[in-house]
Parts: sequence; structure tokens; C-alpha cells
Amino acid sequence: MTIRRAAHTAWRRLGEELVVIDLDANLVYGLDQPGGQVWELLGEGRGLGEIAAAIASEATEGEPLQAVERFLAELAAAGLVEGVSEPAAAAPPADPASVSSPRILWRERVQRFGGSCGLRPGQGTPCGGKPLWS
Amino acid sequence: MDAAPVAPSPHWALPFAVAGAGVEVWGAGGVLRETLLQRFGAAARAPKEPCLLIRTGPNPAAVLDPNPGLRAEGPGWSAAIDLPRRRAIVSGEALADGVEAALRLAFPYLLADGLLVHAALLEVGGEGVLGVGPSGAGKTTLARLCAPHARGDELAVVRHDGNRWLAEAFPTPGSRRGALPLARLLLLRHAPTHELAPLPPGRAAGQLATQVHWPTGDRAAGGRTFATLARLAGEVPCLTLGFAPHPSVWQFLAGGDG
Repeated sequence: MTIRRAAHTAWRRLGEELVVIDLDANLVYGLDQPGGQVWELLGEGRGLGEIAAAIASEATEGEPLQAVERFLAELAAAGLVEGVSEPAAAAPPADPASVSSPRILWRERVQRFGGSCGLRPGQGTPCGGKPLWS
Repeated sequence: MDAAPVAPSPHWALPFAVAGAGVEVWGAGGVLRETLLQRFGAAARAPKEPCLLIRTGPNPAAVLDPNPGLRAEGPGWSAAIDLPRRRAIVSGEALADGVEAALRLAFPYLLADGLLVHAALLEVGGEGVLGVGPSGAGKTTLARLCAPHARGDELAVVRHDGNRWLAEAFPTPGSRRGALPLARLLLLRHAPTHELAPLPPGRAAGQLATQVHWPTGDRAAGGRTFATLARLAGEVPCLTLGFAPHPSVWQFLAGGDG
């Protein structure tokens, strides 16, 4: 099964990091350099082995295949990719001491300052008299 | 024979612009018009093409549109916004507050290449510096300490005009209008002494994202906002500013110490 980026994501490379947004969950993620490389390779239709081989020179700590599997499991758990097999999805998280494995560096939640009442285009609901902003 | 005098109509259309986006408010009664002029006055000019038409009225039933798009209520006002048609209805007693709220709510969806950011805007050497942060981070404190140079202390619109990034205070009470070329973004925090530290663009994008009014629930609009945010973080220097609540922060920012 081809691993692919979820349709509800958008991304940009910014310096060393690659920033991904989940447009449905309203979460923004920062991926490190190897993680960004994996993310970019996902768009080229490559298999797991090819991706691992491509970043092998970058993610040299441990086996590249395991590192990529762990990372993809992390992305799958976050809902950022689809098509990750169960064994990969069950892989343990990356070792925090490892500095060169692909990883999610940070996560931020987009704030809904103007629409804190669950407003949706075409599906609006009243906010029960609560002020929307202070 | 002279024409018969025509009684002035109680209804009016008030056009103005917010950060380059045209807005037109329809209403009746001089009090509301004067209030809106005071709030948005410096920008009162006819928009080329209104991006949002807001109709005001006292009747709450007017907002019971079966397909309103966005609906919101606040103290003394109700608003319904039809985003595809770019129309809004605001009703209640606090109509000026409702108009401002409708603008805040609709802007993230309507700004094609702009962002509505929680930030204080300072003018430093003819350029704009945004102090970005949540409530309590120091926006109001920074604006108060730099009062003669502050354009606003709560919200700012950031947009790219094709050549450069511009920042303008959102028209809240007390803000001063006019766009400035944006020179720096400062993520604010309180600190014992003034200090600036550069922020990598990726991390800057993440922190800015938490302070942008986001068009949630609309993937296309969210994608546009993200693209604008990422471009902004990649093109405008972003730093963290730790500052002590002392007037010397202005000299720190303007005098080259930073």
C-alpha cells in the first residue's frame, strides 16, 4: 500500500524545518531536516525501503528503515499520513537521545479566536450568548 | 419654481477600508453612524469593490436566515455572515460592537493574502514592528511604554501588496490607522531585562500560527492562510523579545540596542 500525505494537510519548507498543518485538526507541526526529507519523498510515490535508502546518509543513527518506520508511525498516529501498515504504525517512538533520526520537533494548536463556538461555513450555530472575543 | 426640499433619508451607506479591504455598512440613525465613523473614521473612504457588505438593524429576527454561513452572538448583538455572497447582517442594540465583531469573524475567510494577528503595532523609524503574543504576553504593556509610536495594541492586519509586507492596526477603539512596511516580528514575553533572540523561520511559523485568527472549518481558506503565514515567516525577520516593563524598551528597540 502506498504511503501518502493526508489530503487535509499543507506544508512548506522553512529553513532547516518543514512545517505541516493539519487543516482539519487545526494543528501545526515542525519536522526536523530528516523528517522533512521523508515528508517530501512521500510525495514522490516511493516505498518505505526507497525512502529509507534515500535518507540513509542523513539518519545514520540505528537502522534507517526502522527510523523511517518509527517516524511514519508517529505521522500516522497524528493523522498526517495514510497507508501506513500496522507493524509500522505499532513501532515505538524515536529515541529522544537520537539527534539525527526523522522526528516531529514541535506541535502547536491553531487558535480559533474568531470562531470559538464551532462555527462552520454553511453550518453555523448560535453561540448561546457567549462573547466570542474578549 | 424651486424644487420641493427632500427630507434627508434616515438610511445611509458608510464605506470604508480595512487594510486594503473594502467594507460597506448600511444602517439608519445618526448615533450609529457617528460611532462607526469614530471607530473606523480615519479609513472612511469608498472602497473600489466591497469585500463585505454589512446590513445593520435592531430586529433580531433579521438574523434568522436559514442559511447564514457563520453566526455569532455577543453582548447586545447578533451577526450572520454569508461568506460566498460576502454579506452580513448585524442586529441588536450594540450594533457598532456587532459590526466590529463581524469584521473580525469574516476577515480570516475574506483576506486572500493577509492575516489578522494578535499583535501590537509600533512605528520604528518609519517601519512597522509587530509585537505578537496572547493575552498577558505584553502587547498592551509594550504599546503603553512606546505610546507615541504605537498604532495599536490588540490586533493587526498583515498583508503582502505584491512588493512588500505591510502591517496596519485593526480598527479597534484607540488604534491609529495607516499601513507601514513591516520590518520585524517580535514574539513577546516578559523578562527581567530586555533581550532579543532570533527565531528560526519554521519555529516562528509555529508560534505565529497560534496568534492568527484562523479560518477554521474551511480547508481552502485555511490553506491560503497557512501559505501566507509560511511566506511571512520565511521573508520577515522574526525574533523573541523579552522585555521588562520599563520605558527604556523603546530605546532598546529604536536605538539599535536590539
